[in-house]
Amino acid sequence: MYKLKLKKNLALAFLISSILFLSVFAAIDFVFAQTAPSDCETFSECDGKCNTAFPESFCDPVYHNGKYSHSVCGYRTEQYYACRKTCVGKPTECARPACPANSSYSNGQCNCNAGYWMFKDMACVTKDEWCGRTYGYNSHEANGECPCDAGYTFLNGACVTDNEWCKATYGEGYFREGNLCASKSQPAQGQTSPKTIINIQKTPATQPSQKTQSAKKTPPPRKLTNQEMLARVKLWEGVLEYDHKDAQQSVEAMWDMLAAAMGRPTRAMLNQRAKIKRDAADKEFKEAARDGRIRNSATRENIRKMYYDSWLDNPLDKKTEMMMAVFEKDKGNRDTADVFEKFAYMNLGQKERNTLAAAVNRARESMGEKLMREEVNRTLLKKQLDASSFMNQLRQNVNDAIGEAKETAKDACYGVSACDWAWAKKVGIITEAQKLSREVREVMNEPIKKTFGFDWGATIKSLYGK
Amino acid sequence: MENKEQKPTGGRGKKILIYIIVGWFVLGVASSLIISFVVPIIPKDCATTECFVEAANNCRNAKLEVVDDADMLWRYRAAAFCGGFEKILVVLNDKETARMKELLEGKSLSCDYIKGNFDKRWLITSIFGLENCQGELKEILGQLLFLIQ
Repeated sequence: MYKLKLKKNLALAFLISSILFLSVFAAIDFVFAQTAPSDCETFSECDGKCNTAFPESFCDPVYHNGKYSHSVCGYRTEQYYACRKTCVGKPTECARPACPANSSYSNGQCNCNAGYWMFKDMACVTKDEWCGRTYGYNSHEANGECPCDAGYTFLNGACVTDNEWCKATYGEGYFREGNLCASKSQPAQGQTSPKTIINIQKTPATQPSQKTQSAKKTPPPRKLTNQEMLARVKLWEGVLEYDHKDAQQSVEAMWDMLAAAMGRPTRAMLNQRAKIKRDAADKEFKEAARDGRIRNSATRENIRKMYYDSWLDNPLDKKTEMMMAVFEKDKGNRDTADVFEKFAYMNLGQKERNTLAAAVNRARESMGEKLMREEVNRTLLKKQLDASSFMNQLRQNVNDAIGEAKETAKDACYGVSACDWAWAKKVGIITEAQKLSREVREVMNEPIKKTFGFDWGATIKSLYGK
Repeated sequence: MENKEQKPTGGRGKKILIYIIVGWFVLGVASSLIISFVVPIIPKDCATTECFVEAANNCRNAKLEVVDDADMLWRYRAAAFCGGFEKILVVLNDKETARMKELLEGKSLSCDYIKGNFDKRWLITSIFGLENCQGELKEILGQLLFLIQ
C-alpha cells in the first residue's frame, strides 16, 4: 500500500511540475513572440517588407565613418520613399528618391515632365488636373495660369458660378444678367443706376505662389475685417496643428469679439475704453502679485477676464494680447495662448516690425557667436550655418509648417493683407524658439519689452514667483 | 492497521483533484501577472515608426533607430508603463562642422505623455510638439531655430 501511495504522490508531483513547466514555458514563449525581431532587422530582409508593413517607411543602411554598420527602417518625412536593396555599397543611390509617375530625377530632385505640374509635392498631375484640384474643376490651365471656365468667376480661392459671385459680392438678391450683376427688384435691362447694376470684375485665378507674392506687397491695415480675423485664426491653426477644442475656442473668441464690436460708436472710443479696462487689469494684477492673492486661481481667472474684456473692445492692443497669452497659458490653453501671442506680433505696424526685426538680428548675431564658440566673422558664421544639413532640416520644418498654414488659410487669405507670410514666418521662428530655449527667452525679453510695453520676465515672476 | 489503510482512498483522490485545480489557478494567475508586468518591460526593437508609435501608445518599452533624410541617426526610446519618451541625436552626418557635432551629438530630450496620446510629431519633426519635453537638446534646438533667417 505504501508503494502504491508513493507512486500516486510521484505521479501527482510529476503532473503538477509538468503543468508548472508548461505554463512558464508558454509565458516565456508568449513574451518572446511579442518581442521577436522585426522583418527589417537586417537589410537583406528589408526589401519590400517595410512598404508592406507601413507605406511610408523606408529602409536604408546606416552609413557612418565610411562603412555600413547595420540597416534600419524608418519614416521619411519627404514625399518619396523606397525600400531599396540596391543601396548597399552605393551611398549616392541611397540619397536618390524614388520619383513619382510622370517625373524624372535631375539636379538632385524629382522634376515633373513637360505638361505636368507638381501637386502638393506629392504627385505630377496634368496642368488642367492641377487647376482643378486647386481651384475646383471649373477652372483650366491657360498660359501658365488657371482661369475659370466660361460662366464661372474666381472667388476666395475657387471658381464659382457668376450668380454665386454676384450674390457673394453684392448681397442676397443679386444675380448675373448679361455682363452685369442685377438685383431681383430691379432687373438689369433698362437699368442704369450704379447702385443696383455693377460690372462683373472677373479675376483670373493664378497659382498660389503668385497670390502669395501679391499678398506680401500690401502692409496690413490697422483695422481688421471679419475676413482678416478669420484668415489669422486659420493661419495659426495651420501653423500649430491645433487641438480641435482649443481651436474652436479661439474661433469662438474671435466671433465674440466681432459680435461685441458690432454697433459700437467709434473705434477711438472703444480703444479708449479698452485702455481704461487694461489699466484696471494691470493694477489688479500688480496688487494681487504684491499681496499674494495671485496664487489663488479664482483671482487669476478674474484678472484674465478683465484683460479679455479689454481685448474685446480693442483686439489690436498688443500688450493686452501678450497678457492674454500669459493667462491662457496659465489656464493650460496653450494653443489659444499661441494665437494671442502671434496676434500681438502680427498687429505690429511696419515701423515696429522693423525695430523688432533689427533687435532680433542683433540678438541672433550674439547668440550665434556664443553658440558656435568661434571668433569668426559673421559672414563665415552664416556660411557655416547655411551649409549645415541640420540647420536646413530645421528650416524645412518651419517651411513645412508655413506651407501647411498657407494651404489651410488659402481661401481666407486671398487678397487679405493679414496673411503676410514673410512676417508670419519670422514670428513663427521667434515664438517657437522662445518656447524651446530659456536663453532665447532671455535675449528676447528686452526687445519685447520695448516693442510691446510688456515685461515677460517680470510678469512670469509676478505670476509664479520665479 | 489494515482498517486504517483501507479507509481514506476516495477522500485523498478528491484532495488531489483540488490540489490540481488550485495549482492550475495559481499558475494561471502567476502567468498572467508575469505576462502583464514583464511584456511592457522587455524592450521591443521596432523597425518602423508605426511599430514604435503603437508600442509607445500601449505603454510598452520600445526602441527605434532612424536615419533621416539628412543622414542623421536618431534613437527613440519609450519607457515601459508610459514612463516617458526619449529622443537622442546619435550622430550627425560627416559633412557637419566639428562644432555642430560637439553641440548636438549625443544630446537628448525627454517628453511626458499619457497612454494612447503619443505625439507622432516627436518622430517626424525636430521642433514641434515639444511643450511637454525637457532636456539639453530642446534648449539647443531653440537656439539654433532662433538663428534661422
